[in-house]
Amino acid sequence: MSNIRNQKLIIDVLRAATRAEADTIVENMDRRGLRAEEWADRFVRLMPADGADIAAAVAEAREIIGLRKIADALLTELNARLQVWLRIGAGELPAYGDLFATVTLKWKWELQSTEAEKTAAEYLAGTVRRQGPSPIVQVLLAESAYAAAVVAVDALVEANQFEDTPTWLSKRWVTDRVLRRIKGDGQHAREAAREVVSALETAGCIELSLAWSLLGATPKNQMTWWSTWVGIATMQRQGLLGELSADEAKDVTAAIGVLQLLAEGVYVSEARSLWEILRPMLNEDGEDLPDLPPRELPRERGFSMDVRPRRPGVVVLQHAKSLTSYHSEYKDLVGKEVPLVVARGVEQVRLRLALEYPHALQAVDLLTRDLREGEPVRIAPTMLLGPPGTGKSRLGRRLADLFGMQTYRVDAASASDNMFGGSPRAWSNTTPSVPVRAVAFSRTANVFVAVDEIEKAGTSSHNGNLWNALTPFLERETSSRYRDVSLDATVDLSWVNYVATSNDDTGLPPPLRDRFRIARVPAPTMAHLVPLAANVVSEIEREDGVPGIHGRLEDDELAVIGDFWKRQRFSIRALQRAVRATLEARASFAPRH
Amino acid sequence: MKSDNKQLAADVRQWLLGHYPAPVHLATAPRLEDWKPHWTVVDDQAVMMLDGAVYDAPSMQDGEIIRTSPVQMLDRHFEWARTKNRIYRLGQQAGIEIPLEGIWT
Repeated sequence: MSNIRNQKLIIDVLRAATRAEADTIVENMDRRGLRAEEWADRFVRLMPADGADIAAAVAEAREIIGLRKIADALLTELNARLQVWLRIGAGELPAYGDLFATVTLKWKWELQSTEAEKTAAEYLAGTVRRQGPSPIVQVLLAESAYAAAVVAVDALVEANQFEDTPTWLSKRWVTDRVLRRIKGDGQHAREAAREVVSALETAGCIELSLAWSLLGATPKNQMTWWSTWVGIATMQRQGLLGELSADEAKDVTAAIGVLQLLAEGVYVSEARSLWEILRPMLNEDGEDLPDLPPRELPRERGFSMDVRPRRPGVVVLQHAKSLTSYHSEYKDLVGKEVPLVVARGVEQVRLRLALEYPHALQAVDLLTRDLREGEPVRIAPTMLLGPPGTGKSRLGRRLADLFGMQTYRVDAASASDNMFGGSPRAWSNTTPSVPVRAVAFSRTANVFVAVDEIEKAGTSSHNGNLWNALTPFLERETSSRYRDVSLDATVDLSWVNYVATSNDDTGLPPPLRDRFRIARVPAPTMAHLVPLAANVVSEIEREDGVPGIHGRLEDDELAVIGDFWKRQRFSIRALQRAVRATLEARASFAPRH
Repeated sequence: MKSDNKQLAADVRQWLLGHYPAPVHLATAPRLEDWKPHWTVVDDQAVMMLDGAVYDAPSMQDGEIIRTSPVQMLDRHFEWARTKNRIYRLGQQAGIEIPLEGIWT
């Protein structure tokens, strides 16, 4: 009943990306005088609800396809597509109007997913149909933890038709795990919830998957909250969270606020789950969770809007009676807690620094020895002492960088007075001391202040000098109650970290030298050539944006570089020049095709 | 502006039904490399923006460092992000690899 050409056209119809495209193909058939099969015409007009018609059309399509030999890959695709048609017709998969688009989206999934995944997806799709547009996300957020669990589990297991199916998504399994999760026994349930999220996503049920990702994410990993928060906040802004009473809207806003804090990483040190974090904001009676089967959802109301993160902080500026217009940036500090950055991954940081500074292991050790995992970053004032070009300034900065902290740099060589301590407010454009500026600039109380080339500060005592101005900040006793001459107020700067660099400490006044812990950064030697040169190569590659393009340096190249480096007295800057020149030379001698 | 909002609303709905982004939109979208989130507050609402180096963007040079408009949808696997104005493909995230760096003094 059909010739080859006609068969090809029908395949085209089956593979059409949208209904409009399929329509055009059928029209073209007509125009070219190829009498379109009645079948194709009907196919284009199928609707999701026409289950029987779809089945009939698919059966006919299979017959037509079966008439001629078709390449295997194409045949597989067509079969998968037809299978999706059938599933939609049988109501196993949700479809949204344009059937062709749905099939185009889903046929690969049909081909690739396992039987268990398909079962899960069908199951969930059924739930979505039953739940209608009322978003579970809304319920999850507005209700207490317990209610959230019940709703989520119910949504999944409402129908018992899979009771005897040995899939991972059987009712008892999920119920058990999700509830264990809510009760605070986490890991397994979290993994279970994540699997559900994946299945939901594959099935195209993004909204449900957002709800479930609330159960699967952990406060410790802020990244797991990013897309959840972004999605839910957008739904709220777009008014897609369903009908909410004013009361519920307030609760949901508060809960979304908590999600945002989670996403921002405020709760990274938090061992509690989202629900336990939310619970203090609910009334007290959410404590004991009854066992299944729960039916009545407890209606708990009244989040307080005060969602204060539990991160460490310190009030730097308690009172300030009279701030002038020059102090507008410091007004925010008054009476407020300024956050302290907490040390995370101290061991990795130590390792990274050691890899980057193989010649200064002792300095790395001294810099990182005060750090305690999970506690605010605080190191004793440290002076990095060593010849020029050994990477001293950068070492201090890298330490701050690796903890995600800011460094406020002061160049001592250009400081000929005591401006470090600020200028008195008698002067018209008065400026607070450097540490206060650093705190205000970084909005963290334990910011790093780097004083470069401290030995080069001007020594005249006519206008005061940097050394004397710096001294009181270096002791916690005095710095915790420092009277800032510009703000005319007492400030607590005891958390500020100081790293100074110096080529030579002999000229420094003893009171200052005593207050610093001295860490020697020796010049590298030939033994460090290989790791340092490798660092430089990857740095260059990173600048050029092509990682791995240069490969490693050959032995003869290293020999030449080493020779040059030795003559330049092992300066890192010289090494950078040498490596760069070598790579350029290599490029210009490379064979061209 | 208004049509932008309409488009966004339509896209959000499509996304919730599992129909967004279309592969063709994704394939032609600019790519953001070395990206990291930036949190801030706009009109009293906390928003997340992305900082990163943009590639394949028509009006910008490759590698230009940009900050996007607030992110409205974010793929769970960080493969794409839909901001207020457009969609980005996301490349390598900043800070998750441990690169060896050269030493700058």
